[in-house]
Amino acid sequence: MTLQLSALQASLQGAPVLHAVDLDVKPGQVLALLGRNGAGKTTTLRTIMGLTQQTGGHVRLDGRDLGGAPTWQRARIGIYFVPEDGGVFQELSVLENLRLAGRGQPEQVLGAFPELKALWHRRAALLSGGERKILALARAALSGSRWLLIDEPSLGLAPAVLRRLGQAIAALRAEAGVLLVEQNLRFAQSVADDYVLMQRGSTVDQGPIEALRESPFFAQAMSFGSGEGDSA
Amino acid sequence: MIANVVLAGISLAAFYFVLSAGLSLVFGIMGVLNFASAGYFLVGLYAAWYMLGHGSGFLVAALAAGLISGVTALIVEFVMLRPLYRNPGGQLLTTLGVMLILTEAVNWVFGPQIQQEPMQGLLASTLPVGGLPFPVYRLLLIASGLVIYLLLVALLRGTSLGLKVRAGVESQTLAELSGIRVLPLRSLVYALGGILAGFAGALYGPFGGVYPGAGTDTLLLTFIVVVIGGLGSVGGTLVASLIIGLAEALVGFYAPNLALTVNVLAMIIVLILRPQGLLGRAPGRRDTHAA
Repeated sequence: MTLQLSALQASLQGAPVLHAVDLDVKPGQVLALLGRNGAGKTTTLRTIMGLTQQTGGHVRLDGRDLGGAPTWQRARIGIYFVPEDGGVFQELSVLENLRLAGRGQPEQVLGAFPELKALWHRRAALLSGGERKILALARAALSGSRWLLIDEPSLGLAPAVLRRLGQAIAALRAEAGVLLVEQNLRFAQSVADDYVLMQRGSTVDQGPIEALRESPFFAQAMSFGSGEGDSA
Repeated sequence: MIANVVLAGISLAAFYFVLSAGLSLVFGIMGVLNFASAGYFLVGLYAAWYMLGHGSGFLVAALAAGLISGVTALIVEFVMLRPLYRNPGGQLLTTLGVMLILTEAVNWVFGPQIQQEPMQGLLASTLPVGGLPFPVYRLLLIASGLVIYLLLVALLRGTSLGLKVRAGVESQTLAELSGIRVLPLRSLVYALGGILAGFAGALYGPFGGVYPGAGTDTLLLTFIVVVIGGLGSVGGTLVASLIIGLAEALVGFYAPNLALTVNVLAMIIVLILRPQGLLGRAPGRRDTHAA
């Protein structure tokens, strides 16, 4: 049972952007996909969902090649994508957003996300950035998906909200494998088990997250001197 | 006197609402201004006229007209628009072509002359309002607009299908990421737009006349209503219909030559002050997740 990318290639408006992406996400694992801006991290997630044109290689789910499957079908067979802005429907209420996400009852998420109770009927456009991210993760939890692709969840959030987000992602891993794209290195290290480094559209190294800074590609892939800074 | 004029304005507003609501929804989910709506309006107008002339009751004729226009719209969507799914410019031109073809087809089959719509019984009678006779038929327009509004709200706010439509209107990409198949939703909304346009056509006959140019004649006002209300917003379409209907009746009463000018001015003012329309979404909030 894995979400497996092998020799994945993709292009944007005819220009190749992914050249060779190889990674496996296992159930219960949080795998951080790291690299500098423009390395192809978000494009990798979008290609898995069929939003960016795949030009080569394979996306396999439990051994089944998803090549050519439309986005809605990938979502239905258990891959859930949380875009950078949370990907919630701004014109719909919190409750309606949850209804659209899930196979289960919206109330089911209140155990893990109790803060949503007070926001139940509020339009998502009126939520704060942190509340919107929590709603996005609650939608992911309710979707029952076995694979979650989460793009830059920490972007623009205060440290206290980040801690809450980390807890939420930790809760999600009980039910699913998580592929996490993250620029905030400290946050990635706090939630992930393993890392994959990307550089210029290809994966270049992977290993346990504790060994990230020992990677020979770390400084180059993250675009700063090894051991310095907490974001890239 | 003034009560009579205001009631006439509300009845016009009800008609504009039925005419424009489908156009607004279709734009919301397809991102295309559907010129073909004028063609479906015409199909409904002539279908109702034909059925009334062959002994059918008005309500049956109007519902059948809506159904025939809806089926026509569904065929057009399936055969002509679906292959252009990722080509909004091509879709726009196709809807323009469909409008012209349907208008010419009606002209060819029924001729260019204005036909008389046979109205009988209660619908042909009047009631005294403000000291003047007020056509009962116009009360039917108000009731029709109200019922259509309530049905649309019940569909969009009270059903799972409606929730999916609203999601698709906001962002097709996000809807697909939620596992929703958007393509059948587009067909459904397009057919619904056809039904509403056809039903509006049936309502138009008794007070506007039955002639091949009726579709294009009402098209400009439909666009004005939809732009003022906000593309994709049913509530906005209702508010805009009331503004345009009342303005047309009141201005038309005091200065008949200025009625259309005032409506166009209202649209320009709204476009300057609130480009997304009274209840429309800000343009920057459109589908930001699309490829």
